[in-house]
Amino acid sequence: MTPFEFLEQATATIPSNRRANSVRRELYSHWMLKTADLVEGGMDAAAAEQAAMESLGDPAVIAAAYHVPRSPLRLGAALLAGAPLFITAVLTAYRPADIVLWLTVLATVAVIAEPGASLKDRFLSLKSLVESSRLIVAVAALSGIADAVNNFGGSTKILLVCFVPWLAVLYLCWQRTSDSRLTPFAMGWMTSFSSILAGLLVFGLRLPGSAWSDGFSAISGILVPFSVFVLAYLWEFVQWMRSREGRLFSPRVTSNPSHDEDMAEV
Amino acid sequence: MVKSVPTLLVLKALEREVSHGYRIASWINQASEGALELKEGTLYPLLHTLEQKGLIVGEWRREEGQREVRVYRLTDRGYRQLRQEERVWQGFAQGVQRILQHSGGAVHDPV
Repeated sequence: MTPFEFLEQATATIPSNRRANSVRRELYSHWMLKTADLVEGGMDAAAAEQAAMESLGDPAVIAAAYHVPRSPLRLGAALLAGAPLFITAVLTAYRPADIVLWLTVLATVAVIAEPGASLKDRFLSLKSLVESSRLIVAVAALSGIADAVNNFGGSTKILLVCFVPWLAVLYLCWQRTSDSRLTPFAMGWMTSFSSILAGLLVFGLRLPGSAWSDGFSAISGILVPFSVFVLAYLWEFVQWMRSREGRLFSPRVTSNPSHDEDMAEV
Repeated sequence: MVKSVPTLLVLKALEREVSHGYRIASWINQASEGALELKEGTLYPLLHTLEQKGLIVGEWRREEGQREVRVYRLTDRGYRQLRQEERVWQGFAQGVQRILQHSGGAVHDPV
């Protein structure tokens, strides 16, 4: 096994490419330092490289340590919420807010009532559901647009149709840059944009000519995924701010003077 | 009983100086005179977990004439956590020591 194969295997369970790259760099740096130490100790370079790699241990063990159990419901909930919602909204122009509300409630109940799951598993599943809610809100916005296209006049139709590819591109970019340092901002922006757009469309279409019950279901249909989404956004934002990656405000370091020493011993 | 020994060791290593993973592992091995070895499969995920918790901060640094390494530094929160881990460990070690030194038989004399 070459060092690169080792690194690939060791980081195979890290979902984010950026994070996996960072870990690979760090492990590679470790391997190089160990090799240099062994060469300095009198070992042949090729043998030192091999020995350094063996000292890293089994890549599967490292991969297992980075493995974060994700609920299989993540994809299921996304599909469950996304596809039928979109198809139904397009085909029947039925209130997307109602569908979002009921799917969110059903998915939440399904996660909490997952048989045989520990409290931690339930929490992780719920977290996964919150993550997948990004899709729910995005689809709600799209279905709102689809709904609007069926009801609005010509110029509005054109305007709204222009939004669809734009939203789709933004959403894809957002998914692909997941875990990047822009994630919280992208999430926040997309959350606000999608929810406001969906809210405007649903209110614009339904509230003026509808009874209060319609208005109430539109509000709850938007508020439920919106609240879940905002909570997810806040959670990720706080996590991001707590890490050094954001650098907006770094955690204070101790005043221990030894921390300022350089790495002269390496 | 004490699950956080690797955490204690890593935080202690970083209290001493800013350091990267390889040097942390080497220091633990040397300071324990070869008795303790922190495997990479434990060390790096642990470092990243501690970083996520805000106990340490990491940054890439290029040394003069050296390759780039990711070095870690203890935060104030990490420093407080270290003090707490030390207290827990000392209590645990004293308890085990008392048991090992116990002569056996009943702990309390029957009344």
